[in-house]
Amino acid sequence: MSRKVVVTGLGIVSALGLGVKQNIHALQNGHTGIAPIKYLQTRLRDKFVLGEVKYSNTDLKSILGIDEDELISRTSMLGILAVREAANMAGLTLDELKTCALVSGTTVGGMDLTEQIVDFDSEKDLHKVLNLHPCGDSTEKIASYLGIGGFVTTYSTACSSAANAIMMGARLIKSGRADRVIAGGTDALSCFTLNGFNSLLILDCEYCRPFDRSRAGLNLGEGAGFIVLEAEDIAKPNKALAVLSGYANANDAHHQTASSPEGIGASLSMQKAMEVAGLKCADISYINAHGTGTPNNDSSEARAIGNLFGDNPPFSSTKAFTGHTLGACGGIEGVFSIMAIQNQELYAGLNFSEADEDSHIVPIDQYEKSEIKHVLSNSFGFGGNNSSLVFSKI
Amino acid sequence: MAIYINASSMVSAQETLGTTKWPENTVLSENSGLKVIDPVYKEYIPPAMLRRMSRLVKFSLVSAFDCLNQVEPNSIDAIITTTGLGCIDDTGVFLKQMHENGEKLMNPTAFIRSTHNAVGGQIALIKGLRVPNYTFSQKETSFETGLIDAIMMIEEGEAKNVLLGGFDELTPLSLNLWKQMGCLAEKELDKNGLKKASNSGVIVGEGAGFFVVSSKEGSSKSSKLVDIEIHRTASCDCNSLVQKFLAKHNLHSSDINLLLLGLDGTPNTKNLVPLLNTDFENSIVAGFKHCSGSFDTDTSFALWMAHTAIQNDSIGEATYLQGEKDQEIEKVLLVNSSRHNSYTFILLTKCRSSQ
Repeated sequence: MSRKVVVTGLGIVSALGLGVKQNIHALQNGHTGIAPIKYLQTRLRDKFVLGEVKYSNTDLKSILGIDEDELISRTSMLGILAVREAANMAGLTLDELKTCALVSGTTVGGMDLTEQIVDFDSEKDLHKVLNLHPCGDSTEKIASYLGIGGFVTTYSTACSSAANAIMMGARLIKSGRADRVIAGGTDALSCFTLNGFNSLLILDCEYCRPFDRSRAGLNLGEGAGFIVLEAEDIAKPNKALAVLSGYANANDAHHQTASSPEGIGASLSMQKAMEVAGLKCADISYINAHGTGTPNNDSSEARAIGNLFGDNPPFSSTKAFTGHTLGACGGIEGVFSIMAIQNQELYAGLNFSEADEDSHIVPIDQYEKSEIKHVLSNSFGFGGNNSSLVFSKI
Repeated sequence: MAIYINASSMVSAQETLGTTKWPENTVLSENSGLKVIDPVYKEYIPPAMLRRMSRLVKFSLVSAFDCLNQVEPNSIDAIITTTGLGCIDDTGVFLKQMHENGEKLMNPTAFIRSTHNAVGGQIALIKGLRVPNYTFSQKETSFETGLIDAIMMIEEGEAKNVLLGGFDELTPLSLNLWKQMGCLAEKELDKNGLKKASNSGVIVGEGAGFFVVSSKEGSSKSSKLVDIEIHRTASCDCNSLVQKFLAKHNLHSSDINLLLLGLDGTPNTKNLVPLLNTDFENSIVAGFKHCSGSFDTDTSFALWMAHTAIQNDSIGEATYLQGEKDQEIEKVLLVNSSRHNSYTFILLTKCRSSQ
C-alpha cells in the first residue's frame, strides 16, 4: 500500500514569533529573532546571544490557559502551541484528532525543569519533576492537551529529530497505519544545552554567519515546528499546501560530533531523498540548508552540495534568523520550506559576506520572489545523523 | 507481509548473553534492583574506545555486536535504537558539573555521551554503517514504537534487515527516583509474587536486547513476527483487547502455546492478572519481570525470551507460572503493560520451514 502524502497544516513558534504569519513576515523582511539573553536563567547571560521565544513560561501558560502552578515543561508548551496551530490550519475536527498520530522530535524533553534541581539527593519532590524529564513525556503532554488519540512516539536523534519524525509520519500513512499524522519537533532552551555546546567550543558570541568565511560557530535557539500530513485520498479538498515527495536518512559514520570534511552522509541523504521523490538535481528550486554557522558543518555541507549539484540551486540557512533549534529545526525549517512553495519566494540567509576560499558556492543573501517547485531541506545531527526532506508543489 | 526475527542478543541481569537458551541459574533481587552481568567488554569493543564509553553504551554495544555477529554484517540496511531515558547517568554527571562549577567552561565528555542516539551513532561509527539510523524515546513503549518503524521500513522496501535494539540503565539517580515514588519493592520478588499484584513496589532493572528484523527468513534461529499492537488506553478489560488482537489473525486463546505476561507484582499490572484465569487453559503461562527487572525497554527482554522459547520448545523453570509444560511452542503471545495505561501485544510464531 503506497499512498501519496500531502501537507495540510503548519504550526510554528520560534524566536521570530508565534505562528506562521509572524515567522514568515520576519523572514521576508530580514528581521532576526536572535538577541541578547532575556529569559533563560544562566550565568552565561552576558556572554552569548540566543534565539529565544519571546515569552516567559508564565506568558506561555496564560496563552494556553494552563494553571500558573501546573508543572509543565517549556518544551511541551512550545510543542502544544505549534501542534495546535497546525491542526487548526488543517481544519482537523475533534473526532479526527482522536485517530490522528503524533510523532515529535526533541533532544531535551523536560530538561528545563530537571536542571533546576541542584541536588538530586536532597530534593523532596524529585519525582514530580523527573516524571516530566523523558523526551516521550513532552509528546504525551502535547497529545493529551489537544486530544490526539492515535499512535504517539518521539524521536531523539539530536538535531535531525524533527526531520526524522516527519519521515516516520510518511511511513505511517504509506503503510496505512494512519490517515493523518502531525509530525515535527520541539525543543526549549536549557542551561544544559547552552553549557554543552559551549564545552564543545562551537558557539559564537556574535551573531552567527552561516557559510561566511568569518563564521565562528552557532547561536542556539528554541521553538517548535509541526506539519499535518494526510493521505491524499482522505485529505479535504483544497487543503493541501504541498506534497512530502522525498525523504532519506543516512549516517556519516565519521565522528560522534563532527561531520566528515567531504560531507559523505550529507551527500547520501540528499541523493536518496531526491531518488525517493523521483527528481534530479536540476529539479530542486531551493535548498534550505542545515547551515548552523559552525566552521565544520558549513564547509562539509557546502562541499556536499557543490559536489552533488555542481551548478547549485539557490540555497540558504535560516538559522541566522531562528538560531539552531536542535531537535525542532527540521520541523521549523520544514514549515519555512513549505511556505517558500506557498508564496513562491526565496528566504535569504543573513550576515553573509564572503565564501570560503575553497568553496565555489554562495548562499542567497536577498529575499526574492521566484518560481519554486521542489524544496530540499537538510537537518544534520550528532552521531552522524543526516536527514533530508523534499517538499513539492501540488 | 511476513516479518522475521533472524538474530537476537540479550545483555541482562541473567546469563543471557551468547546463548539461545534460558540460563541454568536465575538471579533474583531484593530491593537494590537487577543490574546486568558485565560482559567481557574487550572481546567486543576495541580497548582504546572502551575507556571513553559509559556503562550503558558499553553493554548496549556488546548486545548489538553479538547480534551483528550472527548475520552477514553488510546485510544490515537500517539501525533502530530505542531507550526510555537514554544515557541518564551522563546527563546527571554533566548537570552536576554544571551546578558545581557555576557554568564555567566544562569538559564536553559527559555532554557528548548524554545524547539518546549515542549508541546508534557508535554502532554506525565502529562498524562503518552509513545506513538510516533512528532513535526512539517514548517511555515504556520506546521499544515497541521502534519495532513498528522497523516493520514499516521493511514493508515500504526501505530496508530488508533492520538492527533493532532496546536498552536502559539503572543508576543511583533512577533508583532514588523509584524509591521516592514509593515504587521500589521492599523484598525479593519470585515468580509467585508476580501474580499477587499486591506488592507496593517493583524490582527495577536494566538491560540491552538487540534483534535483526528481516523481510526474509534467515537460518534455523528464526521466528516469525506476526503482529504488534500498542494500546494507549485506561481500559481495564485487557482480555477483550487481547481476544480482538487474536481474532484479527483468525486465532483463539486456546491456540496460544506460550503466554508471556509482563506482571510486576504490583497493582500497576493488575489488569493482566485476569488473563491467568481466562481462556488460555492450553497455554504455558510465564512471567519475566522478576528476572529482567522493570525498565522502560524491558519488552526487549520479553521478546528475547519469546524468540528463544520457540527455538527450544521450552522455557526457563524460573519463569514458569502455570499450564501444561510438555508441548511444542509454536505460537507465543506477549502481553506487556506499563504504569502509564498502555498495553503491548506481540504475536510471534515458529517459522514453517523449521517445524
